[in-house]
Amino acid sequence: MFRRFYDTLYLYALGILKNEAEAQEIVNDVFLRIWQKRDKIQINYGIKPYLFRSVFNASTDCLRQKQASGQRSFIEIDDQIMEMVGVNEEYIFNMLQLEEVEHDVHEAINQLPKQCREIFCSSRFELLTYNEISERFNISVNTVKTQIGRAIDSLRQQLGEYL
Amino acid sequence: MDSQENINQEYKLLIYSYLSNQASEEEKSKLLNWLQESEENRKFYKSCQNLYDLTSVSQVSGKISGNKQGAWNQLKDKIETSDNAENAAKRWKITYRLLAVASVMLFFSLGTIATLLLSKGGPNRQLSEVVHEIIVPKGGKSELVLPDGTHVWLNAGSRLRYKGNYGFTNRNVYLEGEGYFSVVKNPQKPFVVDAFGVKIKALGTSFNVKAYPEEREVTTTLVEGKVKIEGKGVNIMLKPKQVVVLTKEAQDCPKGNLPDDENTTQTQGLGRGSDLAVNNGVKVDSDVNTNIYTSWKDNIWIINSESLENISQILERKFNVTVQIESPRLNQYRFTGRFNKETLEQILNVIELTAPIKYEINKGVVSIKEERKRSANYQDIIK
Repeated sequence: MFRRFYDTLYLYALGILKNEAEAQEIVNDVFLRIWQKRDKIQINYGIKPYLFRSVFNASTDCLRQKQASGQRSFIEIDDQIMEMVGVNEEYIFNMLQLEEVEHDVHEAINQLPKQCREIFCSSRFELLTYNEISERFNISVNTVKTQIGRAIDSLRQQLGEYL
Repeated sequence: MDSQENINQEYKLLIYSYLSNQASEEEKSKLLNWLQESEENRKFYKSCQNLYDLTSVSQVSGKISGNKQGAWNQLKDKIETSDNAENAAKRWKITYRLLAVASVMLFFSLGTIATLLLSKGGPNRQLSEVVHEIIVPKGGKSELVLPDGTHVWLNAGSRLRYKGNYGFTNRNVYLEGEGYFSVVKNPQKPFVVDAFGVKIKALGTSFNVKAYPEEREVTTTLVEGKVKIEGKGVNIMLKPKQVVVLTKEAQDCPKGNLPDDENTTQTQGLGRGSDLAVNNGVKVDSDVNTNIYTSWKDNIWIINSESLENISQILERKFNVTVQIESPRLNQYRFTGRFNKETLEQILNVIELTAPIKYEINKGVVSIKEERKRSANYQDIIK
């Protein structure tokens, strides 16, 4: 279970926390707690939404605590943006209930042209920066950005019905 | 529309940079300004964020493995030590519970609100384990604003509870008693009132819920907007000016404790509610005068053909007294009227004028007796 879900959950926590060490700790914690409570936990809608929900709760609690204790990892502008658009919560949980979603996302990413896909995956899943990607593929940062833009367009088109 | 498309082209990458933590301060303020400009921009942002989240679900990744092995080892260590520590942790938990009970704090504000902050939990206290409780004693009334801006009025003898993660991971509150809710709109997080197991879900509306422990019914009145009511075998979408009465027996309602965090509960959209279901223990009234149900929050008490029995229940809560009715026959008398700031005596005087009863107040107990002479006259008139 750990092997299967770690990456996805880590990426997800990172999206909320924007801090690698914390994201790793939180995902670890969630697995640990599941292990400790393995006899008592009731899972109604499958393990995946449960994991995501747990990671979401833990991450947002962590953010809250940091804000409450005054050591904001969030500088003001991030707070303002968050206030403007809110935390994207229910969306992903609802999506996880639909089985075809995962398959379709997978398809959509696979259908990207080869270089475009590799660049997008380096960015989205390996979390490389634009600079690191430009070095790896020996292309300019601008090209990296253009390719990612293309990937976004294509994915938006493919997955439009879910967005 | 075309120009909008072009603008979006420019911002989709900016949004992506922001989400992947690569945006400079300059870019962030540009994004913030743009978001402040229009609802449309925020919508576009949302759809980009959705796409970003959606791709994280995909299993294409599997490349952060260096990291993963380390994390796995760490986890294994923790599991081994935690199994030993488990018993110790249990003892901690009990100690903390005791401490929590001992450290119950009461704030009285204006003599009407008692706020009870009950915190329990171990060294790793989670927000979801902190419970806020607002108790309005009999004779009181209170008004409060929840962390998300939702406005709540609580009637006498009510209590409202919510967890520390309210507004953050959910917007669930638990009600015993009567409350009027003016809910701030947030389509991402439905506002849910749980009253004895009956769930009233709303996105952004105003409605009244009456669910006293001593009464058999849960009554929901919708003033504006939309709410969905979910209970055992019940799934009703309410339209404005409708009232739904559910009998608790038909719901075999759980009493007491807060349910555990509903980690996996799916919140359904409001879209596909069934039409009015009228079955066992459910009553729906349409086109009502909602004022009758909600005016209490403005200190106006409207009585619309209520029995003395119901009225005395309200008097008990409103004035913190016990009402004893001597003969069950009196319970059948019905009254209609409207009170504003009248005292208990003034209200009882009015009731006395319109029915053959006499009252006495002694140490917080109101005894209502039949006045036989007048009663006999009444019987003659009725005949």
